[in-house]
Amino acid sequence: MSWVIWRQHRAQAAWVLLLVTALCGLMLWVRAHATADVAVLRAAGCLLGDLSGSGCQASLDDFAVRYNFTIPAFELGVPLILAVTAALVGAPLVAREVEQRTHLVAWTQSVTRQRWYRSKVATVGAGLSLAGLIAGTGTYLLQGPLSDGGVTSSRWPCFFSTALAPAGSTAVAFALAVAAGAWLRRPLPAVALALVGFLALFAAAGRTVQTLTPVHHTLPGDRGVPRDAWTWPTGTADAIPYHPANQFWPLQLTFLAILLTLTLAVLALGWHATRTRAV
Amino acid sequence: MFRLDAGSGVPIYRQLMAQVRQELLLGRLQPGEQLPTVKEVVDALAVNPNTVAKAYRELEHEGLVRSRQGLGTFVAASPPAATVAARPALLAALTRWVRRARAEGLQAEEMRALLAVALDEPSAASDEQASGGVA
Amino acid sequence: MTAQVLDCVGMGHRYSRRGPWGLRDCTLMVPAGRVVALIGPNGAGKTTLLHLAAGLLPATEGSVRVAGARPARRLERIGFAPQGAPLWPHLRVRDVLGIGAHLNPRWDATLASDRIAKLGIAPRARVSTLSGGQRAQVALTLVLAKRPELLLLDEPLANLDPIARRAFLASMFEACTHSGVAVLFSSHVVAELERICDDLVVLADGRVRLAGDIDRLRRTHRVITGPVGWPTTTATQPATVPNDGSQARGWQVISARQAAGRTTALVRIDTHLLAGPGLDAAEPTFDELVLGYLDQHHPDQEPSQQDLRSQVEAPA
Repeated sequence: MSWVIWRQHRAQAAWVLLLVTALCGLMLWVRAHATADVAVLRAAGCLLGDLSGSGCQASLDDFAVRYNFTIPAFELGVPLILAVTAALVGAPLVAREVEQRTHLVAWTQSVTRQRWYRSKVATVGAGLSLAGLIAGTGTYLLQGPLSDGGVTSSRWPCFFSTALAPAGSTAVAFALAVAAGAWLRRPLPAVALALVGFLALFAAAGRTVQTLTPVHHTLPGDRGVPRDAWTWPTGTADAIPYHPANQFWPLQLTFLAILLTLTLAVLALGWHATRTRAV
Repeated sequence: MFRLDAGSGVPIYRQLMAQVRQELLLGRLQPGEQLPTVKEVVDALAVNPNTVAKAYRELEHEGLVRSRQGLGTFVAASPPAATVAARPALLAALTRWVRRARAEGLQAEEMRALLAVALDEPSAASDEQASGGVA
Repeated sequence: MTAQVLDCVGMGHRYSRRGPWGLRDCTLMVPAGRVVALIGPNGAGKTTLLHLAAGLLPATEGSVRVAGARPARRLERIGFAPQGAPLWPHLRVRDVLGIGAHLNPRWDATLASDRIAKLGIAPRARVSTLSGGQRAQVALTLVLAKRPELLLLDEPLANLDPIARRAFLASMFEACTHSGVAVLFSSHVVAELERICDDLVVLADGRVRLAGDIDRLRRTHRVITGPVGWPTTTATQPATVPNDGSQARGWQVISARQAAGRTTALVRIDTHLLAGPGLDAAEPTFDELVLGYLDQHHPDQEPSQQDLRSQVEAPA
């Protein structure tokens, strides 16, 4: 079965590898520049807590303007590009076979339909998650100098696009596309449905991590949210909710766990659709 | 050796049997000679091997052929009861009749139709009349 | 005594709980080494039957067994070739065979490569560049090289020219005689089936109308030609009492057609038939047998409005 999966998906694998390499390459290139610029700022003494002389403010603003593009480009871009890629890979997995009627051949070759589905979904899904992990490493590395330079204000979007998060989000997008394809039996509408579902699930999972995990609150006397904490804008001046920096990895793991659970549930639905609606 | 008439309505195995019988009657198959193997017939005619096997089995029941395990099917050692060579009188009479029918303008098909009618007639004690008519 | 290779008892399938039955009450047995033809017009249920036997559909009612177990457990012993020979368009021929090699435990690589070479198909060619006939050949190679016990073929000869047809039939018959492979194949073309199959199954409107060994079926049916208006009904009818006093049993009229001032009916006989005055009786040809049953009307079901005969190609 592994030979078959490789032979059917090796072109897709090459494209995904190319994409991830390009993304990471780009991010590392920006990171190199940002690191250099941060070094300049640090040398000028502009990064020491609240000490901000007028000259520093201008330099910091300059830095922010120069690297603001990274927010849409990478913080939003990386998970979205990966989700679209995963949908494009996942939608035809079952749907194209049914559309071409090759499922009649694929599922009568001594491998049961269930084993076919499990092997394909596990292998291709794992590959895409790995791509997500690599991309997440790229964004994680990129965020270092950017946060030093104070680019990201609210850091949740950054959280959702870095480290382990893209692995999970890519898996969810893939699962949704496979299930939509099995249900609709046509790849293109399945991609659209999967992306809509992805945005919904992604937002829901993110909201869950933000609100349902232990949250700290600032007190009226505090000087605002501690440095490196994750927060979201509430509009009120006091009792701002935030997560301290040392909760980064537990939160990441929680987010990943939620996404992987969703992935498995959606894949189970996809199996039900494959078993009942194909043929 | 075999030819099949797909539209004739006669079952395939009976056609094969009839053709073997004809070859035997005409003396073209000699005792001890091997019939085409099932595989040869299948390759030539794209016909089901079970059909060929059935034809050969039925011929063996009639005593015309004998199958030897692993070697093939062979014409029985003892020749059939009547070959055409042993009936020169009948053959001559039939040839005269055909010539006469042709002189009266009959085509081969019409002659065959007459023969079919004659064959279908109840075989009561009318042999004298039939042979008298032919002669 | 080995079990039947394919054993269906009361098998039926419907896609949804309120939908129509694609196949109903199908009882069918295919022993090893036999070739069974499944004949019927489009929509008769031939593909449904084959898909049930191949394990692609679950039986809504009844049971289907291949070599004693459900088809899903016997996939390696079943060679299924779907209608139209679908194959992955972007793969090369050798990749398609590679899929067969990697997924089937009993793959005969020599047979596969020899057959492809003999057919003149380049292993490097992409499936999308092959003609319909070549694709059919590759699909058939895929099932033959799997060395199955049961071949299920959905209209296998449809896209093959006469030479290709002969070559495929030769391979198929060889598998039958050397390995005892049982074959069930469907066709809506009646011509040339007689010489290929041992047994016949006529399917119409999702039900088996006729099934059995061809020679036995021909012996137990007659085509009777009579004056217009005869027989008066298509129900069971006693035969004319013969002159010598022996009791003739009943016969059953399957279907009747009128043409050129005569009525021709296909009847099934229980015993020796005496047709009676004014009627000619003859053993039916293969085509008359099939078409006679396709013409059959069933008052217990919704009568098919179309002329089923016209959907089954027969020689002129």
